[in-house]
Amino acid sequence: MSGIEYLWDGFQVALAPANFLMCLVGVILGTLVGVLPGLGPIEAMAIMLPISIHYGPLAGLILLAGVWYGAQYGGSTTSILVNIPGEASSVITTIEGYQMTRKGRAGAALAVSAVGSFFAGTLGIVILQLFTPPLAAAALSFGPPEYLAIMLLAFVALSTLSGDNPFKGTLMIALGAFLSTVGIDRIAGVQRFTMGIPNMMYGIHFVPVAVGLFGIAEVIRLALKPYTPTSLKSVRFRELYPNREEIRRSIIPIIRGSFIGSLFGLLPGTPAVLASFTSYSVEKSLSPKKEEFGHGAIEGVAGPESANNSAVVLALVPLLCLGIPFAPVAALLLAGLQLHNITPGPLFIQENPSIFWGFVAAMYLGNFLLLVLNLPLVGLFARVATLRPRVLIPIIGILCLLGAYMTRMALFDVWVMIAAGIAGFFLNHLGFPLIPLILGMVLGNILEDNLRVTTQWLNGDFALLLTRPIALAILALIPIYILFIRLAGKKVLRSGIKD
Amino acid sequence: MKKIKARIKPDLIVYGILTAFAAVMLFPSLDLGLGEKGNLGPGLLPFIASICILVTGSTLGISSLLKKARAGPSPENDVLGRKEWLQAAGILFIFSLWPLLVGFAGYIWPTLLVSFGLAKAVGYKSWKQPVIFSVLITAFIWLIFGVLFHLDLPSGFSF
Repeated sequence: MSGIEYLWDGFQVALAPANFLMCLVGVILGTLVGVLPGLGPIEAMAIMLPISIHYGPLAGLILLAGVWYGAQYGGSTTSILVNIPGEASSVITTIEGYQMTRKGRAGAALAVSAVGSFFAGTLGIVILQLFTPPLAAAALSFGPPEYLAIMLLAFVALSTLSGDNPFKGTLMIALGAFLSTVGIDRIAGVQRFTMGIPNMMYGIHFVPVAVGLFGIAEVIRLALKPYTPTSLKSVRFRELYPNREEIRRSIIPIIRGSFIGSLFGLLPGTPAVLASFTSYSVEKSLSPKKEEFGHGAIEGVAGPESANNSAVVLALVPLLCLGIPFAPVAALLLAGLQLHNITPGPLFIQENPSIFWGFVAAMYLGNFLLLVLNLPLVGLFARVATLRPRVLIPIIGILCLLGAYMTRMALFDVWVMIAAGIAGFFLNHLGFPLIPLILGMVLGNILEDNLRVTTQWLNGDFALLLTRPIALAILALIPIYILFIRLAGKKVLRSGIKD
Repeated sequence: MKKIKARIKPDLIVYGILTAFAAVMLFPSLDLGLGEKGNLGPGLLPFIASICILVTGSTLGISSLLKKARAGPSPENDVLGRKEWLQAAGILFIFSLWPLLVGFAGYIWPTLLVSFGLAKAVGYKSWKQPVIFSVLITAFIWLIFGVLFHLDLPSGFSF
């Protein structure tokens, strides 16, 4: 069967009532999550994880992914209309988007953002569809040393990409990796750091930790420093038309942003955030009208909004090809698939073609649904963002409690979440990056497994790695990567953030 | 000077806690066994992670100490006052009521109590609004998760 035939079958699967409904629910929920400050896709996906179990692996995957990419759309709406970024990746959109709203061009900014997101999302899905199967096939030739090299590259990349201080990133990854070892060791069968607590034998699950670090810490932050919702600028459907000049100025930034996002999507950590900041910096440096930046330049909306959407889609490639989640939300998708005894990796597409192609088709549908739903309902979604923090906090708090509980239906996880919330509040207050901690927890077990298998495979003689050219090439990428990020990447990112 | 202390001190406390934690965890990691050539033990990854925490935590702590003299006053909004700390502690206490009570009281009463407590803790002055609000949240979540998605919400004497 050719790719087109597989995709056609995928559309038939995705259009089945249950799958289509999940896609619709996922994207609407994702948009709401993106709109609401304080509630991110991690908490929403954690809450939806047990729900996804009831509807089979494909419907569950569609639901969770819908929440993820729907959040990117929702985040931009409030960034533009009310100057409140619902999502971290939409922070940069507030700069130009809100200025456009103040100048009476909110409709144009929203339309360009939606069309850019749609284009970028679709481009991301095309790249995913075209490159994932051959990459997965190539990954079949990977042995344990290659996987170990990829893991090491991911760990180094996470520490260098996180925050201003790579030491803080390294500290957080190491802490996450340590926490991943708590529980019964799967190979030796011995208890590690369980302190005699029966629940600790099953280990510390990353979902309650993530919900605590991001959800509970955000609830406390919102309670202590509540934002004041600004008045909502009403936008009518007929106003959602950019003028000819705005269209002309948006086309190239959308295309450029989509490709920047596609590249960043493959990086570990927070690809959507990095992609949007980089795209903004690039647009600003290339624009002939630099003086308009900061005062409502449409390129500053078109580029970053496209970049974050393609990054979100492409962040699925490492998960689907290698079974390695490079972003916390990808880890939640992995957890969702594992609940159905499906392990993503090189054999995933071969063994589950209907799931993979149904998922790809559902992403096309979801992207289209987001465009169709978001523009007419933009006023409704934006109104959600004008809710006061005192209304949001109890809702977010209860959803976090339930999300943590439902992960394994254990109260122990709720305690873990509260402890993580306390730690998250302090660590965030002191400028520690939290994403590496979560990814350290997720990747720690995978790293340990690969390290053990590689050592057995090489019989402890790491000089044999020299006979593995792919592993060597990946390892050689580590210093190149550090050099690139520290010298070039940081300069671009910093200039964007500073501005 | 007070503000400088407020900024530097928590940094050092966190580094101190993490470094001490890592130092303590080195011993049980060694007890678990690092393994041998070709056969790694269950203590190796925790040992490596502990070393990493120890090294990076000490480096950050030392650099924070060295920066102390040069540190300028922190922005006003970065420093939390006594009132904010108490409010944060209150919110965490309210959160902790849920796992404490839900085991025997079930979903409804603890959820009502926590949502009411959170609403009061974040600024509702009257009693009527938070009561209505908490009832609505509890009922809405029960309808969505319990009725629509058939998820097992915690059960107890009240549910």
